[in-house]
Amino acid sequence: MQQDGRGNLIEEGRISSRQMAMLLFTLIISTVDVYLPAVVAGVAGRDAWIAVFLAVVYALVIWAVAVTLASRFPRQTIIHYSKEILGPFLGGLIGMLLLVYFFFVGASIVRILVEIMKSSFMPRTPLVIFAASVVLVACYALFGGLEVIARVNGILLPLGIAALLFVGLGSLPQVDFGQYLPVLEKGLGPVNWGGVILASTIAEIIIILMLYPYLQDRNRVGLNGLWALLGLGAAMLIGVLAIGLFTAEVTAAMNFPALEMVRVIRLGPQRTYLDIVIAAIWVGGIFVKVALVYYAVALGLAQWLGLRNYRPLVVPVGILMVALSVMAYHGLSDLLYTELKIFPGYSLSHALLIPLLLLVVAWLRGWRAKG
Amino acid sequence: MFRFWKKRTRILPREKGNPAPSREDYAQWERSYEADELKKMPLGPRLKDNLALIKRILGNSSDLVIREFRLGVDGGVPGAVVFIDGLTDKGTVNDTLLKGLTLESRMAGLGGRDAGNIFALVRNFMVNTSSVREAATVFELLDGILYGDAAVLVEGETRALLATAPGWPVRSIEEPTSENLVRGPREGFTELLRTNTSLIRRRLRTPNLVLERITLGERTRTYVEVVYIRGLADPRLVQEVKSRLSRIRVDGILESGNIEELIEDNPYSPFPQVFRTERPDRVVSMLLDGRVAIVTDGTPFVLVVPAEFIVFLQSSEDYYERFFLAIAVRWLRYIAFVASLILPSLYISLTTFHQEMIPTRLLISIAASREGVPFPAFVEAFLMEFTFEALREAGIRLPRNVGQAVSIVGALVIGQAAVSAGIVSSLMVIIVALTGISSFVAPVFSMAITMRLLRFPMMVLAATLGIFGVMMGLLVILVHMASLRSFGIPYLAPLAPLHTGDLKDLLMRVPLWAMDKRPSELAKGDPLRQEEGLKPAPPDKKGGQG
Repeated sequence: MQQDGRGNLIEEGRISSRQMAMLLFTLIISTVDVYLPAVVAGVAGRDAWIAVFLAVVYALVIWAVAVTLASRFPRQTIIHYSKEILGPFLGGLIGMLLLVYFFFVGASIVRILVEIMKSSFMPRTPLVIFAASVVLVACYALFGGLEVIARVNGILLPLGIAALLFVGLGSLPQVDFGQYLPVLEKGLGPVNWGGVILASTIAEIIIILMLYPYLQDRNRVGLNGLWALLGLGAAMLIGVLAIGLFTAEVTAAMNFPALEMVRVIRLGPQRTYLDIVIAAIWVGGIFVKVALVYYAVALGLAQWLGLRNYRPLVVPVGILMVALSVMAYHGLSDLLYTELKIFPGYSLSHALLIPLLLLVVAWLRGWRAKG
Repeated sequence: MFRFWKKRTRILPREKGNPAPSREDYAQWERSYEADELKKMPLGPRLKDNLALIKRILGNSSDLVIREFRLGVDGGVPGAVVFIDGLTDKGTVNDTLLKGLTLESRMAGLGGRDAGNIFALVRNFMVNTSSVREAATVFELLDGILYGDAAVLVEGETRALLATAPGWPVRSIEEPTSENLVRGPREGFTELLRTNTSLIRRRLRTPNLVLERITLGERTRTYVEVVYIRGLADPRLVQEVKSRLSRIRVDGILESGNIEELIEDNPYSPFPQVFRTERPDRVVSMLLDGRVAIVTDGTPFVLVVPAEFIVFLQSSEDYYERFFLAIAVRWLRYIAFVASLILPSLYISLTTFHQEMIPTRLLISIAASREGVPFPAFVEAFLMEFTFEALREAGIRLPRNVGQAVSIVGALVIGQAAVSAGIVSSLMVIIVALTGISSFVAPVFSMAITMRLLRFPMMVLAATLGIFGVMMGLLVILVHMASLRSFGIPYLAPLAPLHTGDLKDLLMRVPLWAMDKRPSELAKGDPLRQEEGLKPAPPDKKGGQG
């Protein structure tokens, strides 16, 4: 399998680095603007907007490490070259850890979707209905392959950005910018922690380690990803408008500040309650995110097991993902606690430390398998 | 291909006491002649035998005409003109064939001394039609006369002369009924292949317009022309089209829809992947994009491939009208298109799950009008949509004068009566009417049918999961469309994968002088459509007449 230094790539479709950047944008934006403003407001208070800038800087470091590593092994995914760098046992372990990480991210995001639909719109529908339906549709997309996911994202992302701008501009008249003062009341500590929490979510961009070999124009992905991260920063600033709308304390107490922002928008004399429309568009974004991590897990697992095709794994992985999403958390507060206390360390250790470790060891061992 | 018969006869139900005829029975009563057999059968030197053979093969059909005559002086050489009554123009046969062969051959004094080269003499001097071919086998001879040629056979010759003299009934060129335009050419294709290709060639005088003929259908032997512009159409695309067409082995091709179904990329998709049109100008504009047209004999519908999703939402009038209007109409069409898919399901999900989105006053009036309705919104919507679809179908099938009555009754049923009887609410009537109107906005019927079909599962999803369900349904459709291809072109191009340059003909319709490039997925050989700097401007003020 490893003889020519390529490994089995399985997927035949190729996407452009622009499509890749758009996928990364959707991957992050669909989580980061929904409930994270509440989490960050709880930590950084009214300075959450500074945390956004810090988060972008941290994310750029993660991105730089990941792209440097990936560009050293452009014809392989991390499942293959971790074995080459650390040997079959340790490398296999690292590969499995990353697959579990993506799997966990997928299950969590499914659960977040379920919680929003359940708590805000349809409280009496069982959890598993929402989880299973979104995973089922993602399953259908997976049989189409990476190109299909990228194309669907190409249609949905402009809609999503339009919705985001609509929310930002629509709620702007009611934003009280006085809420952001005084700046840095409690020093840099809490702000930094807020930035780390945000960065730990953005760290999911290391999915590039799985998708790098499938790019058409690999040399431009670093720059395109940079633009995606800067765009994310701007989008997150729209998310922290919630603090100006509701004050930091109230925002921190909310479950989904983004939905509350939609609810204050007025198109006529009354509030218009467009939240379900925005939520529907957001469901599209969540769908792309689920499909992408789900794809990474199925593809990576097939490569880890040395299979020639990932499609037999799609249905089993999907069933497990639905099961984990239902069983992993007791409820919304459990989910938010995990996001605040456990996920940052878990995510950053996988997204930053593992690639960094691989990078250093590969450098010490003299960079093999280039080209 | 005899295996078709074998299959059929086995499936036929057999009645007791009247057993179905066996294969031996068929063999005894009448022999069928297969193409392979006929191709090996040469013409003999004796005229009598040849004529008897033709008669036997054609089963002595009543429309077979054999006119025997004698060629030249001194008793002459026996000959015969063979054609099918109704397919061949009798006037042409009389004037150009028989006159020459009987009268003029006598005047020329043709006789026994010319025995060796009489066929060449006939061919070169006696038969004065513009198109003449020679047939050496029975197959070629029959293929010719069954298309409408007149065959000339002469005693002692093992060849026959085929003179083209078509005289079958033809519908004249009329305005296309399925694609109406306000501004644009009024000509539409007819059922005749030659007329159709001539309509295309008259609009494209480039010598690079190529027509390649393929015969499809073992029994119908339908002529099909693959039409493309050399230098614009991707050679691999042309090759692919031809190889997909030559794969077809069927009994008969009755309409281009038969071909469409046999060459699609994904036969299980509800979406049309082959464009069809009745308008020559549309075909020409698509040929100029670098596409390939398939013209079928016997139908006015010409197929064009590849066809991505967006061509089904564009009309040729978009390019004839002023561009501001074209952009507005295009967006109207897009919105109507989406509405025809999701309007009923939006109504269902809003009234069932998300009442808070409806403004309060409207909500009250909806509640009031739904007060007397005993059904849930889904049943209400389904009833009305079903009625509407049934009426529409009936309106197409019924004889024209009855159709009028049906539509009046339908309007009454859908409108006033259903509401006052308390079966549906008045808002539902508006929704159904809007959906119906929207679905007629799609310029190509095949895409409108798809939306009609997909509307019903969307309604079920809306009734079970609200807007979340609608979104899931839309996502499934989107994923499906993203995985479709039409002859190698991604179905959602140029939106996904994105070609920003092509969006000028999708999100907008830029003025013609700015439409300088062909669609980038097609026409890779010659991407530029026109010269730059065509933007019209008034003459310089200093140089003008003032």
